[in-house]
Amino acid sequence: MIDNKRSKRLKSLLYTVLGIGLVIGLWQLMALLLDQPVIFPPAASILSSLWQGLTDGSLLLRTGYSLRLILIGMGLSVLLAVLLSLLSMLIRPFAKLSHILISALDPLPGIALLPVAILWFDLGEKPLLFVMVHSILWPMLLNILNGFASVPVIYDEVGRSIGLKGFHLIRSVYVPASIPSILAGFRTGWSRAWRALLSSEMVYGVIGNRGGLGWDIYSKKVYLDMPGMFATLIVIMLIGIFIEKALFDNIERVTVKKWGMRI
Amino acid sequence: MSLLQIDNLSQRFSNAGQQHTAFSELSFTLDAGEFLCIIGPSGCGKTTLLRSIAGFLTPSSGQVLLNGQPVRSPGQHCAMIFQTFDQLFPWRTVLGNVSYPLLVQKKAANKRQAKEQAERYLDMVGLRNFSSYYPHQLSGGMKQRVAIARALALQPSLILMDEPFASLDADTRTMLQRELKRLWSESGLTVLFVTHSIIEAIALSTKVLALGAGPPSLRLFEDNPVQGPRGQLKTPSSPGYSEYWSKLNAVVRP
Ligand SMILES: Nc1ncnc2c1ncn2[C@@H]1O[C@H](COP(=O)(O)OP(=O)(O)OP(=O)(O)O)[C@@H](O)[C@H]1O
Ligand SMILES: [Mg+2]
Repeated sequence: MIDNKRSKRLKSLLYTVLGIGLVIGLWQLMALLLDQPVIFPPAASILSSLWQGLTDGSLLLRTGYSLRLILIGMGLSVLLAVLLSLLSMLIRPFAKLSHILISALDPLPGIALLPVAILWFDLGEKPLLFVMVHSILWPMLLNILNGFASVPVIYDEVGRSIGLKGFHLIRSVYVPASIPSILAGFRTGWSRAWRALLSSEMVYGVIGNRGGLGWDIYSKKVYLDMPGMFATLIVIMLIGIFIEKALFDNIERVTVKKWGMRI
Repeated sequence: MSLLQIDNLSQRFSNAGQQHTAFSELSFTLDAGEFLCIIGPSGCGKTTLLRSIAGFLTPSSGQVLLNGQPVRSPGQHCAMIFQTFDQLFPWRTVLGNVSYPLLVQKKAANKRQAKEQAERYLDMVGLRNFSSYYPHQLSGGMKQRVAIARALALQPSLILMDEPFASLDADTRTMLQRELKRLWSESGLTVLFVTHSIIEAIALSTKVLALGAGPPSLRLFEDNPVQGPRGQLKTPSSPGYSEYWSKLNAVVRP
């Protein structure tokens, strides 16, 4: 049993490595065929730029800065989403309000709010966080509310018939029963956070106190540092894969998968 | 005072603008310790009646009184076992499904006590060795047994069962009928049991409510005349069985 699990993990690791190798190989092939290193840099120069950025700390510093902002943005958004979804469940008219807010505000690209946010909050991290929370909150809230709305009636009735009400019913029945949707909300929120942060920095340069990865790409573009830009993109993708594997996959493993719920 | 009093109860629904009456002007009383089986053709309002008693539906007219008090909302006054297999919380283990309601209703002082009580009832339905399983790892019959254990562990004054054995194979059904009858006779529970099967109704009940598809006059509410040893199922060899079967059949399938 345990051996089986370990060999499964090894297998999946092997496939990941093979997949990455394949992508690098194909990339290198394209670079050779096109033979235009300025616009399509060879894999080796991208990897060496990545290595350099990681070892001299410049890329790491910017990654750390971006991650910090993203975690704060996610944290604030989760708090707000929890609050708004609870209010929507407990107070009927509030649910209507939430849905109106979502349909009005979700289509507004965060970047379009940045000028306003800068006027309101001045330069610094506040306008960035404002734009990020705006980008994360609405899809997250929508997923949570949709999840609650599609909880099978039977769980609600069983919950009420054993004596659960109000907040307790939500916490003990609605939340576990909608974990698949809640996770989907977190995933969407996570990718929206990156988009908001990077696009803000790329349009407006350093808005925060220091530059993050968006600023990194922006400044590399000025110097036409193609390998460097791709190195930064690789860092962003690696973080994405890491979070998916280390966080979301594990949460799913100890919840919905273990419970035999459909995802 | 009787435990349950149904007073001129009617339930109407409006389906697509049309008024639909599930049943109207139903009255009966039930004493504690009875085993009432409710039979009738599909759509005659059996589930609707149970849901009214459980408090999921507000009466269109009339009332449901439990110990003299009108039932207003679902809650601890009774335990309900639903018609479907998916009534267990998939995110709790078998043990958790049984022990959690005990904590909610403060029928156990702490988690350890709740666990012990839950284990006792799981033992009764023969599932002690499956405590740590999740519902999706159980068969349909086992799930229904957990649901029964969950309801019994709460020691409610009234237990409502909506065709709990309907989708089970014949062997499992007979086994669960036996267990239920034994538990009922040992515990002094009051049971309302909905079934499609006249055989099951005669085998289990002390009283029978037959709802016909026709006008309310076709209803029948009476003691089950077929006698058997207490705590055991009544079988076709019990005296009066075939006559009573014919009588119920005529009401249910006129
Ligand atoms: N929530 C509802 N809304 C509208 N109509 C309903 C609702 N619940 C039940 N009904 C109607 O009430 C009638 C009785 O339904 P009910 O589920 O009580 O039947 P039943 O006797 O339990 O049938 P079965 O044996 O098939 O389970 C049906 O005609 C049904 O269409
Ligand atoms: Mg029914």
